[in-house]
Parts: sequence; structure tokens; C-alpha cells
Amino acid sequence: MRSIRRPSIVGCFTVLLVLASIACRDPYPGPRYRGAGATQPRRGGTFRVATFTDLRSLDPHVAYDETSGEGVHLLFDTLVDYEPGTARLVPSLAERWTVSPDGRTFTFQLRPDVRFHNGRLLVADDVRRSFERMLDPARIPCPGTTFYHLIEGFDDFQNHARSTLRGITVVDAHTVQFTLSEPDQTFLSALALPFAAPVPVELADSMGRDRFAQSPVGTGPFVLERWEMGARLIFRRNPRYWRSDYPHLDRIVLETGIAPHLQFMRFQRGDLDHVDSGGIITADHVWLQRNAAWRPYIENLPDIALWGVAMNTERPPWNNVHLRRAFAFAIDRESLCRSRNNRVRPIGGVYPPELPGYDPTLPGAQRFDPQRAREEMALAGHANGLPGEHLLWVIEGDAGMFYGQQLQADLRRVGINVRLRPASFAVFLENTERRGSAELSLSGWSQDFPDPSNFIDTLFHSRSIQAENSQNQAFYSNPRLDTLLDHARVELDPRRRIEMYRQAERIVVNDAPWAFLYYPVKTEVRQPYVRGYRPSPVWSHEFRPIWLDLPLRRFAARSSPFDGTESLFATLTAPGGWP
Amino acid sequence: MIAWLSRRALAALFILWAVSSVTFVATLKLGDPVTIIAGPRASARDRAHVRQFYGLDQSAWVQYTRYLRNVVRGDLGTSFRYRRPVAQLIGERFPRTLLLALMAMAFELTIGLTLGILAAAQRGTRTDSAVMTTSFVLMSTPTFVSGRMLLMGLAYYSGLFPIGGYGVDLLDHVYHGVLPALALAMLSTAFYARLLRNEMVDVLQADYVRTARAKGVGEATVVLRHGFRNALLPVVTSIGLSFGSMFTGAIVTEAIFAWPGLGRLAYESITGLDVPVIVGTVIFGSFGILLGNLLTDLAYAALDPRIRTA
Repeated sequence: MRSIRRPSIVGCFTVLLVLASIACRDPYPGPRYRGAGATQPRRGGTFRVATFTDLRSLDPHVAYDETSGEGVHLLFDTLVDYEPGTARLVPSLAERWTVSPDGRTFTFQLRPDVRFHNGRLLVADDVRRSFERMLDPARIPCPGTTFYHLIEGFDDFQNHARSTLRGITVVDAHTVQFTLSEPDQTFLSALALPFAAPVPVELADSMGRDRFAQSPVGTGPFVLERWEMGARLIFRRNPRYWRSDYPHLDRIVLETGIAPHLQFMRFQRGDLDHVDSGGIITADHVWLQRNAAWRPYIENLPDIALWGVAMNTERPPWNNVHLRRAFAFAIDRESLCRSRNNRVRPIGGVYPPELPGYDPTLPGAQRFDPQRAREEMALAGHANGLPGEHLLWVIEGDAGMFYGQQLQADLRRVGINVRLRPASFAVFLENTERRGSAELSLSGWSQDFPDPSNFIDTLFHSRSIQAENSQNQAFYSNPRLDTLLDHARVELDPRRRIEMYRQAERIVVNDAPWAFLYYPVKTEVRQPYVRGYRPSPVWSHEFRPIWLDLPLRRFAARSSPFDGTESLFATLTAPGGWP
Repeated sequence: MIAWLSRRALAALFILWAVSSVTFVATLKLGDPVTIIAGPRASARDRAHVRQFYGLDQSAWVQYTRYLRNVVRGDLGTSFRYRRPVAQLIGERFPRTLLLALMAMAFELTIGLTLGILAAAQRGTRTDSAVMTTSFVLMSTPTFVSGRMLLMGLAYYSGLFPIGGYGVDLLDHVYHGVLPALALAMLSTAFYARLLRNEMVDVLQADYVRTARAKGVGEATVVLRHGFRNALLPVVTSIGLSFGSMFTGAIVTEAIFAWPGLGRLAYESITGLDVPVIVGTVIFGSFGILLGNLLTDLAYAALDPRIRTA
């Protein structure tokens, strides 16, 4: 028996050794394909991307998650939109608009030549009817109605006291007017949200809510060709699109449910044209950032998002401002970010760098200062440490636990004992957003649109305190801040407005209802032949203007360890539709 | 036979009821789905509407009885996440899971049984010990290791197979399914090989086999007709029991290879607190397992006349 067993063990080891030696080789050291060298945008080609999360709905009035929003953005237009690659609002379905001097009336002149995917002409009444569809809770469960609560007659309409929305007037076939109950400087941004997209209401109604969400009809540059649930969506170029400068692509294929490690492997092999942070695991991230061949095609752009620890200011001991400040000074944000390979960056205030209002020299910005932390502990009356153990809610998963443990260690050094309470997302939200429930929570906020109010009003205005689903998770209430924010919201002079938001940020930072920790940096990498792409500070991706400099030859000859057979494998894996 | 079948059917109904009830009660404890459905910007009014729309404003008892009533009518409810009928979601995923399971079973049976016969016929030789060692290694390797190794070796490095995903038409689905099916089949292949080998080793020592050999029957016939056929019963049991997995999906394998089957649906529904889908996939899965057990019993009867009369 013994003499037989030995060779098979040796065999196993040999197999393992062979596998290990294969795994140590890098089959794709750099891009495999490069462009043909065109300088002008070319028409044609299929752009292939993948995402892990599934899309839930393509009804712009229903979709609110990031992935669904991406699909919606290809299929629908809004009255105003962001210039690709910037946070600047530009005309889209509306050719031009005027705002009344009191800032309450917005009049939009629609383009005369816009057609829905089914061929019908877009008219001003579509805007009114789409808003009525979106805002009527009996017709559609829209998660974004609160963005439009200042439209006159909003409450009456939502309560079904009136059957029409008073604040929207159709002036003529191509002119529509919105009247607000009070001025709102973020109204244009709210109109750029997909919730405000016009849909052919008669079609949506006859199809029924659920079917329209699966076979949507909009005015956007792409038409939904097919949606294989859980597998992929295929978007086809809209031949009737009103813009002349794009789209160039024939198709966009979005595969869903592809885990991050698979996305990056596919990208390296040339099966995908673009990946972002969602498809780059940490090991690949480190490899990529050091890779000279990929460097020209990588973009690292700060996300307009914010993470920190919300401290429940209504509950002792966190109603003590000194204790909150001690918490904020105790955390070594640099080391926190370094240990995440700088995929996140430290932040000491409310506004992340890409957000208008960001103050690079914010006075009193929160930072790591153990000495100050100890002083504040003493001022709080806890020179010998805070008694008891305090529950910190984190979202289940690697990241939440990882940050949580580092916070735990940092806080212990100044005498604050924290116990982690991981919870699924639903349970986390249920507890941290309910009044009088959680003490501490590791929470985040990501922009709806790039305006400081979207952060500071949402997170710190006392109006955002609710019994449940409270976005003000610190339950922080400061009349001085409220007044300032209410003034800033209606201020017509943009410069003065920004100055007011900066002032407001200083109040919040000083009162420390949150310990601000970090903002994520989104990494995107594309194949060399993908052109016209600029990472957007607003949308998770802006694929609309892309064109492909269709590749004619392979980039690196030794891109496969099987040099001789490379062409065979390349044929097997070559993406379809290329010349 | 009919009495036996109806007894089984009644028992199955009871089990389905018990399983769905337990799952339903368990999901009540998972948390409040309203926040997930309504989104962060929802006003109190929006939340009230969501509650009303999904009947979440009613007592647990009312929700439960309404749910049972609908299930009896064949309506598994509407997904919170996708706002589509659960039956439709399962209907889309089931063929994919079934394809994967059938391919895996084909691998398991062809490879596993061949190896088992080979090892039993050549008991004590190097072949035997090689089969046994390999199957031991395969059985002890978790899918998340073997799956990734298959993926790295046969897809990423060599480019022979696609890197995960599902493909566009039937042939492409099969092509995409080879690696996940192999990964899924690994454990059972080894299991069948060992099971069959041990069973056949016993059978081949039985008196009637010695008689057959004494009569001068050829070795191949002895092994295949006398040995293999009589050693098949435990294998059939295992196949029947694994039949249920076709209805539940393989969560780990589907995740590694991005195969959009029932396993992924179940996993997503749990993380997204999509209660109707959670309960729906559980009911569907238990239905499959019950069906598998029933078919196993019927197959027994076909294979072994003694069971038929009992």
C-alpha cells in the first residue's frame, strides 16, 4: 500500500507546483489592443461593460439605485443636463430657459425636434403629464418626490385634493413653466435628475407600471433592444436622436451580475472596454496603479460622497460637544486611508473636494490630533476615559468591519470604548435612521446632484430629522445653522450663496455631530481604443459621447504565456463586430 | 400504489406549508423592508404609501394568511426589489439553473461512475489508489478554491473558456456552462467514484458473482452486469437527493462564475431583504427536494422488485 501511495502524493505536489508556476506568470502585462489612430470620432462598434449589481427598474420615475440610474441615463433625457465630464448644467431637451427675478418661476423652451423612441414628437404637455405621473403616489412609487416639494400645489396634488399640479403650466406646444412656492436654487439640479425625465405617459399607462419599467420608451440617445433579466442589457443607437454630435456607438452591452474579480480579468483579456472601482478588487487596484502600460488610460476621480461616524446628539453621552470633538480628533484618517491603499482619502469637513463650496483651507477642519482629543476628553469631564461600552453600527461586510476595527483602536487610545455592531443594510438603516435608536453609526452620503445643500441640508438641517428614515442621523439641531441654510437656499447671488454654505460648514465642523472620515476615489480604466470618454463628477458613468477607435491589430505580441498559440486563443476570444 | 402516492402527496403538502410558514415568520425578524423599498429620500407619506401598497401596514397574521391564500392560487407575490412577480423571476432563472445542474450531473455520472468502475475492477492496483487519492483531494477542495482554479487556468490564462457569464444562445450557454458545471460536479464526481467503488467491491465478492465467474462469464460482463447494476442502488439514492439542488441553485458556484441562476437570485434577495423572493425561492427549492425524493422512491421500485411489493 505504502509504495503505491507515495507516487500519487508526489503527483499531487507536481500538479500544485505547475499550477503555482502558471499563476506566477502575468499573461496580460498591459493592454492587448490599441486603436487604429483615428482623430475624428467614428461611428460604429459595440461598447462592452459589466456591473455586479443587477438593474431593478428602467422607469426613470422609479429607479433610484446607481446601476439602474446608469441605464436610465442612456434611455432618457431631461430638460437640462450636465456637460459631459463637468458639473455644469447645460441645455438638453430645453433649448433655453429663463428664471424670474424673484427666483420662483422657471420657463423652459423645448427643442421642437425631439421624438420619443416610438416616433412621437415631444411636446410641453409631456413634461406636465410626466410630472403628474411621477408625483402621484397612487400611480407610481417614486422615491424622489421630495426634490420637487416646492412646486406650487405639490401637497394638494399628493393628497389628491386636486387632480392637477398647479405649479406647472403649459404655455404653448413647446413652452412649459414651473412656479415654486418659494425660490429654490437647486431646482435646476433637481430637473437634471432622472425623476424629471419626460416619458410618453399614455404609453406608460397603457403598458402598466411594471412593463414600462422593463421596456422603457424615452427620448435618449439609446433604445433598449433587449433585457435578459439577471444576465445583460443591450442598448441600440437611437437613429432619430436629436443631437448631431453623438451617439457614435452602435450598441452598448451591459452585462449584469459579473463579480469584480471577473470584470477585471475580462478587461485585461480584452473582453470588456471599461471597468471602474466596482470591478477592481484591491489587489488589482495596486497592480493597476503601478502599471506603466495602463497608466495613460486610468482616471482617478474623487467621488462626491462622504463617510463618517454620526453621533446621536440627542442621546447622552454624545450630547456633549467636547466628547464629540474628542472623537473627531482621535481618529488617524491618513493611516485609515493608507491601509485602504488610498482608494479613499481623508476629509475633515462636510464637502468633498469636487463639490462646489469645498473649502481647502477650512478653519477648524477635523484632523488627527491625539493631544487635542485628550484635552477635549478632559473638558467633557472624562479625563480618565468615557465609562461604558458604546455601540457603533456598521454595515456588514469587509469594509464596514475594517474601518470599524481601526476606529475602535484609535478611540481606545483616548479612552473611548466602542463595540462594533455589524448589520445588514436594511437593519442598519432601520436602526440608525430611527430617532432615539443608535448611538453611533458609520454612515455615508452620496450626492443626488453637485450642490452643497444636498449634503449639509440633508445631513444637518433640523428639517431632515424624522421619526424614521431620518437622513439627519446625528439628530443634530442648531437654529443658527437652520437659519443660515434657509437663507442660502434662496440666495440668488451664487458667490454669496457659496460663502454662506462655507460658513455653515464651519458651524457643523466645530459642533462635530459627525466625525468626518473619508471620501472614496473612483478609479476608472478603459481600453486604449475607447475615446471621447470623460469621467463624470455627477453620473457614475457618462457613456453617451463615447466612440471606438476600432482596433486593427494586437498591441503586445507577448500578451499570452502561450506565445505560439496566441492567435488561436485570440480568435476564440475576439469580441464580435470588429473589422 | 395510488394510496401510497396520495399519502406521499399529503405529506409533501404539509412539509411545503411548514417550510413556507417558518420562512415567512423568519423573514419578519430580518428587518423592515420599507426603507430599502422607499429609498433615502422618501417622505413619511411615501413610506406610508409603500407600506400600504405591499400590505406591510397590516398585522403579521393578516399578511401571513393572505400570503398563504395567494400561494395556494399559485401567486408567490411581487418582488420588492424588481417589482415583478416572483413566479416570473423564478421562471426566468430556473432554466439556467437546470441547464447548469444537468451539465454538472452529466459530468458527475460519466466521470464519477467510470472512475468508480475502473477502481473497483482493478482493486488494489495503482489505478485504484490514484482514483481514490484524486477523489479524496477533490472531495476536500471547497468550490470557492476549485472554481477559482478552473477559472484562472482554463479561462484567464489559456483563454479556452469565457471568464464567467452566461452567453447569448443555447450553444453559447453550454460553452459558458462548462467550467461552472465542472466546478459544481467536482465534489459529487469524487463522491460517486468512491461510493460506486466501495459498493462494487462488496458486490464483486458476493456468491453470485463467484458463480458467474465459475460459469465462465467474461470479466467485462461480470463487472458491468453483475457488479455495476447491483451496486447502483445507493448511487440512485444520491442522484435523487441531489435532484433538489436543481431547484435551489448553487449559490457559491453561481457567484464565482457569474451564472445568473436561482442561487444568485436567492442570495440577492436575502441581502436586499426582498421577502417575497426569499420565501418564493425557499418554497420552490423544497418543492424540488420533495420531488427528488419521490422520484428516488419510484426509481427504487423500478430497480429492485423487492421494494415494489413492500
